[in-house]
Amino acid sequence: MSDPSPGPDGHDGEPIPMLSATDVSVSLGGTQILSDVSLAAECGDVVGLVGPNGAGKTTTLRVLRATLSPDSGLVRVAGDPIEGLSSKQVSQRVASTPQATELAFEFTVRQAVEMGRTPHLGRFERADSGDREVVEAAMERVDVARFADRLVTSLSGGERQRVLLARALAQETPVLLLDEPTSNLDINHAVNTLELVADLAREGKTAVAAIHDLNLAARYCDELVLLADGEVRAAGPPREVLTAPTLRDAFDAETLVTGQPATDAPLVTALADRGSVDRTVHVVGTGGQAAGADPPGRRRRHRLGRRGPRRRRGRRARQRTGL
Amino acid sequence: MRTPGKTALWSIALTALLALVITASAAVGPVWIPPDVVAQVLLNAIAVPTAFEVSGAALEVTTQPVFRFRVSRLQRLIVMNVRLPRILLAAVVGFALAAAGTIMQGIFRNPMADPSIIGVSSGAAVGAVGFIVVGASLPFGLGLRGAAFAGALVAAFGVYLIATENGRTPVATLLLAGVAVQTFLGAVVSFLLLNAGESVRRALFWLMGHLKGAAWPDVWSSLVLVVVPFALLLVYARDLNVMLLGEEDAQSLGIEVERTKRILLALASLATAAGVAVAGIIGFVGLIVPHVMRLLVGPDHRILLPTSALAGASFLVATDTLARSGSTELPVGIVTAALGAPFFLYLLRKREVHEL
Repeated sequence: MSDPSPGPDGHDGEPIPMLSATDVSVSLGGTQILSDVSLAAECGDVVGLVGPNGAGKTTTLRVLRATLSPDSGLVRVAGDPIEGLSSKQVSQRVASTPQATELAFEFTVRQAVEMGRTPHLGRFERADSGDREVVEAAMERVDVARFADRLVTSLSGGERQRVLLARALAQETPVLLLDEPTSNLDINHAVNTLELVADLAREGKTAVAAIHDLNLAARYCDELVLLADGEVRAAGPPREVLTAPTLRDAFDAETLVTGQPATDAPLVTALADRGSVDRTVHVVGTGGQAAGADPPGRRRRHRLGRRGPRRRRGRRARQRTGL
Repeated sequence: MRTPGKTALWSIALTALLALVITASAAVGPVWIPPDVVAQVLLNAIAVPTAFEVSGAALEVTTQPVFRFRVSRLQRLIVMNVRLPRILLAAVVGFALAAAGTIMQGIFRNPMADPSIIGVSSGAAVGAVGFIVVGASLPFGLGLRGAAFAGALVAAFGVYLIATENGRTPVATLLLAGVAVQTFLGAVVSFLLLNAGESVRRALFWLMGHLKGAAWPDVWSSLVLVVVPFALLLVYARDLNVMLLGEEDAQSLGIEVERTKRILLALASLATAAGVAVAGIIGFVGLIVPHVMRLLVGPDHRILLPTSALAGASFLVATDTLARSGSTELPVGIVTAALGAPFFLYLLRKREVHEL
């Protein structure tokens, strides 16, 4: 924490994390979703939650934004237990973008982003020019100002996702929680969105993001928390978390971890499932050699032969139906 | 953000429309009174306080009429004592039903929700029919309305309790509990009607919704029971906008979702109960008016709520005028449904084509 003044528990020199979860366990409908999950995010950190589908990433975010209270464990925002804060107090500290939003009624983009100002308005207070400036700036920053007057219902999934991010920015909170912020985005907007999150962190915000793409996570996060089956399997800088053994443990998949060009982040390449690794390499090797020597027709026969008769029959059948 | 100006403009326009509809409605009846005479009678009724005097514990207010048009006594009596109470009661009931419908559609995030979705009308029906069948010897008036009002609130609160677990009331559960309770109460009403004997006609007439026999005290009591919840609902309009995003999103934007839902349900049910208690079951106003206004002014409840309420008032005054102007008087519930349903279907088709 860059703030030199010690907080309530800061007298011992230990910085208080902006956001922390300690031994959080959650079960929903009799199924254990999270078991003793702990994590901490300092000011200026981008923490990535990675892990396979159903690992508990979204549930962790729900606990962190206090829309789900854990069965046990404690979440603190700026040192205060989150369960002791009102919705309004939480919403002034933690903004979040859900994976998707349900909007059955037709609001414009600007109206949807304006809702991000709700935590800062009293019951009888109207949005003033200051609020309007925040809304416009938020829309500029995520590149949705161009279609500010369009209806949210008319937007594509990716555009909506950016509107949700704009809403979270308009909330002006120190903590930002992002659930798969890039899942519907094209590569340009995905990179821009994560660059923006990194910029926001440099400005002092704390961001926790569930990110599916391990390489984007490696590139933009300071810390990663690898979840699997509701448990933290590894946590730390991307280089320490994204290793072949931890990924095998979490994803049950073989990976090749190298370096990303132009950055020092690790690059994870998923290989085919374990049993097929040898054969895949073998086929590539012989295929390459064969390409130089054999005429095309023979090479095809050769490859078909290697893949076995069942495949071949299938291919013939397809050809017949094609006729 | 330009909402305040837009809200004011629409509200003024719809208030003017309501004044016109009321004037036109008061002209219509067995005796035709020209609208300009009606306007003069209504303007004569406007009085401003000129002096306050405290005598003992009571405050005596001396009032002075603003206008002094010359109109015949008979015309004044017909407008002020016969037609106006009924017209104003129609306005209050329409206002309440449309406002409550808007709120329910917002809470349920479903444009097909109506004011009685959590059983208010069914409860009122049991109260009213029960009173008519069992207690028919008691004096007509407050007794019947009190029974309907109480039945409405008991039913709504019962549905709310059934759907609430650990302090949370999921709207899907609320909806299903409402449907089940309405079905059950419908059975109770049918049973009561079977045993109603001679009073079955009166019970049926109540069930179809009518404003016959309205008097000034009814107007004042229902006005209070509608305007107070409405004013409070206006305060929650912005919260309801945020609730449209979904409850979890709303909570992370600082809305105390469960508390807000509870308050909104209570206020909307109170307004509906006040309307249904005096007018019986009047369908479609609370469903169709918010729907049409949403097409015109958009989904922002800060503008949608007041405009729907005002439009609902005009709509019910107009339909009740139709209901009472034929050779035999129809229950207004029949007229609203007969006019409202086809119009609603037209909108539905038009929107579907529009969306494709």
